[in-house]
Amino acid sequence: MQKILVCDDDKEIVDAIDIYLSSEGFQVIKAFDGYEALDYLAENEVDLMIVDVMMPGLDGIRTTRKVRETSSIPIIILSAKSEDNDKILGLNIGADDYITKPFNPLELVARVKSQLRRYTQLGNINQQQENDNIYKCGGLTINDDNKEVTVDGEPIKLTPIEYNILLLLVKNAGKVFSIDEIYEQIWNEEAIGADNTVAVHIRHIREKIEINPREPRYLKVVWGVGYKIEKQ
Amino acid sequence: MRKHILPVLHGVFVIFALLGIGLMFVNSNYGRGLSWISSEDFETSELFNERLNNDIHYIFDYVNYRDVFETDGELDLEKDIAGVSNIGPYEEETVFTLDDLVRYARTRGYSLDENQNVIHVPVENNNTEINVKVNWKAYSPVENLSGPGDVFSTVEDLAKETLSCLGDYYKVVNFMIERPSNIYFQIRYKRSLTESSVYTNAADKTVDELKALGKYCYVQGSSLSMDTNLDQPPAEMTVFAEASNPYENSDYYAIIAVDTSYSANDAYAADSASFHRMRVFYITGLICLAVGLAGCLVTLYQMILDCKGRKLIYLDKVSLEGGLVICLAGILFFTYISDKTICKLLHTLFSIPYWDYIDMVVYLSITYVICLIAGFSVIRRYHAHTLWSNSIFRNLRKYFQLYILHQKFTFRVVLAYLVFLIFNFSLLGGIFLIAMNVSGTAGTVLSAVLGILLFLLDFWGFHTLFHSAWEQDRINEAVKNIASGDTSYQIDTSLFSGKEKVLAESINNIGIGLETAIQEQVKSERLKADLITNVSHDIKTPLTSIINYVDLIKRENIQDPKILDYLKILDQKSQRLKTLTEDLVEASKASSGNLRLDITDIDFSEIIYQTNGEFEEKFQQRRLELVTSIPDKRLMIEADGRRLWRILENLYNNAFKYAMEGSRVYVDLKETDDGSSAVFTIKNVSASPLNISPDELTERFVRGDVARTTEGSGLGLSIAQSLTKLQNGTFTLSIDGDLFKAQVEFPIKQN
Repeated sequence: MQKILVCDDDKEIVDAIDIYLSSEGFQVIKAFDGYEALDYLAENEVDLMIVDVMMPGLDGIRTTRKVRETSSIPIIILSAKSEDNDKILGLNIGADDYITKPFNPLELVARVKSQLRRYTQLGNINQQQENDNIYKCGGLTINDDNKEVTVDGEPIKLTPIEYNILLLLVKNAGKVFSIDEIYEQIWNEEAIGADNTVAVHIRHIREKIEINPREPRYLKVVWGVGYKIEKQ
Repeated sequence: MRKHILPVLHGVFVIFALLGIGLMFVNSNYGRGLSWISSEDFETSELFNERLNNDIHYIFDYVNYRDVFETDGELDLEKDIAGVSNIGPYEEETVFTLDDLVRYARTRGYSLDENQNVIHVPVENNNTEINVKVNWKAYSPVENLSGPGDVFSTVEDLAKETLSCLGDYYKVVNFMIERPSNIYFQIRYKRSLTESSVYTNAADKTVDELKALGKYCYVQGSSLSMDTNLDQPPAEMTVFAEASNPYENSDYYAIIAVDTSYSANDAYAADSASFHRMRVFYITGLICLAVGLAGCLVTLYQMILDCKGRKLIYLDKVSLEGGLVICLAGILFFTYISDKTICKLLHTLFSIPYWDYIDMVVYLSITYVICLIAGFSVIRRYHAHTLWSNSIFRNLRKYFQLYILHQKFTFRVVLAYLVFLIFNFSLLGGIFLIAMNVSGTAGTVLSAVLGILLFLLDFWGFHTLFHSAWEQDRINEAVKNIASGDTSYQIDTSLFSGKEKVLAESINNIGIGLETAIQEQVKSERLKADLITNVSHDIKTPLTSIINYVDLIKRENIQDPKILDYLKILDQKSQRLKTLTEDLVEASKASSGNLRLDITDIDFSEIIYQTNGEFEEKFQQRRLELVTSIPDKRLMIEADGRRLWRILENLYNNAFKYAMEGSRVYVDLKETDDGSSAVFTIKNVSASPLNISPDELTERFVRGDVARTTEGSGLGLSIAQSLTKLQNGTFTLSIDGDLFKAQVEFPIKQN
């Protein structure tokens, strides 16, 4: 049974998270401030930690830093602060994900699972057979041999056009493709009087591979320029 | 100590200077300039030359008169001097002897003084002198009697003339021959080898011996040049020597020598001694004057330096002009007083020739002391900054300004123009009158001066007008700038004057006031945004629990439809509260400008395709058809992509929420006719009637449906508008019946 440490000064939130995660089969250890969490971590091992930012005593940011000194377990920050600056700060000091309050319980569970899968997969990455036709980007894997797409190990079903678009973007991870470029590459014809087709397909892909399509982790929208897969 | 020593020192130096001037003033050489000082010897001085020349005159007069007045080396009073006759038909010559004429002269009040010059004491005289005809005069060759003045003369004049000649004769006899003298002369005319006339006071000396005495002048009949060692050879001597030659040959010589050891006690010796003494005096005087002046200047300078920081005395508190009057009055008063007392007192101590100098010294000293006091008063005022502020003129000007400045501007303009006109006319009239009436240089100069005055006045008038216009321009510019929003604009008032300066400063103050007000507003908006952000953070935590536990209840197997209904409402409202808190933070940040924009080049067409892609399926839920019209070219603008997406998202969401189900939503992107900007338009038909103005729609928390049954926060359009403004775009809403239209316009990026 995987152990998850939840650290928040609001008892009710911790309890609710406990209910959600327990029902998914995780063991939840509760902590109500940073010191408590660190004390527990000093003597026990956990598989993942969820930590609130604004806490009395040791706050989430400093707790994360302390944990990162000794451990590489996945850490998800849970915060009421939704500004970009706060997210960037949290991710920079070593957190693996950032969820804003109020959160969708399903999203929280999905993200926890995703982080755990990635963490365990990274451990046995070498077992995977290296192949020229396998493209990886973070938790996203495309096996071009059998046209299989997985996100954090979970297989994803895509239509052929969606698959091709994703493949194009993953192959050129980091490069921004405009709608016209994607159209010309995938449909092999000149984009005259382009319509919303490409944008709709992209949305579909996002809905399939992202936990929260509004805040995508892989397929990012560069507004007014095009789309890209974030290089990871 | 220094305070007292300096004035005393100054006084000493002043006395030094006065003493120096005194020494030079009372010197017998006063008025000769300075060049004479350079000659150290008396023999080279002007004085010596003058005396020697005079003596040469007398000596040759003696040569001429000796034979007239003497018989066998003795003065003969019985000698015939002149022959006269009455004017008339019966001419009978009367011969006057020397005795006759001398005695006659004496009866007329003429006599000789100790220097053998003729002096005259007026005597009672009843006889009218009649003119007689002079036939001959023994002391004057006949051929000289040519003019009527010479031929006709009164006996008195004749007697006077004779006495004068006798005086000249005596000068030589008394001062050079009978008394020991430093001047020696030897004049010898040879008639033949044995016979000659000799005139000398040194018969026992040879020519060479005479030459050896010192200064000499030697003329020979046989030589054309003069043998002399004098600085200024007396050229007349050659003429005199020739003129006095009684024989028709050039066998003569004349030597005049001065014994420069001045062994004899005569005028030369006295002059020589006096010359050396006076020279020493004069040089001493000069040195005294120089030292005195230098000392005066140094001490005065030190006193001026010391003056800084001195306390003001009573005199300094009187107005500047008052002080001036007091000084003038003081000078006049003390001069008058001292004229009556000190001068008189000093006159008893000094002889008459020095009186002028004494008086001058007294007057000058009084003037100097008072001017010094006045000068230091001025310096003290200057240091205390009361020089100008204390003057009557300034106060007068202030009162004058009180009358002028507080009048209406129109009155001031009229007054100024009248004064200008009067000056102009009077000056022009003056020039005209002068040109008509005064001729010559004076007229030209006067007209020129008046002309220049006129030009200066007119130029000043022009300058004032120009300056005023310039000030108006500056003020207009400032007002325009401030009106157009640049509240930090300030006028540089350093070149402004008068009422315009006041106006300009007021405008600056308005600008500053506006600037502060705006900054205050910005600050308070920022504080408000911060407050809202913090409050929303605090709301989010309990909200999380509400949402989570509502969700948990939903997971319980509840069958009661009533509870399920309540639960649905709780779910909806908690979700709305969530959007509301998020939108609230965004709205406050957007409207206060408290956002960091990441401006990049953005293809407006691309972002609309992207947005369409995001919304197409969502619109289908409410059977809304998206009709898009986008030009087939790139429309590059400068904006923050994510914020622009927020604007479009809010507009599309707005259409999604409020458009009538099953209607069409029109999305247009167009380039304006001049190609300067790109305009995005979204149009939809509202589901409910829009009894509201477009302006109200962008206000916060206003929604098209008054019932507020939908999920919106009422902030979407407000956020869209604020974000558009922040990115230098324009956001317009219009309502035409049920047709809702939103327009977002951005300037196209020019390459």
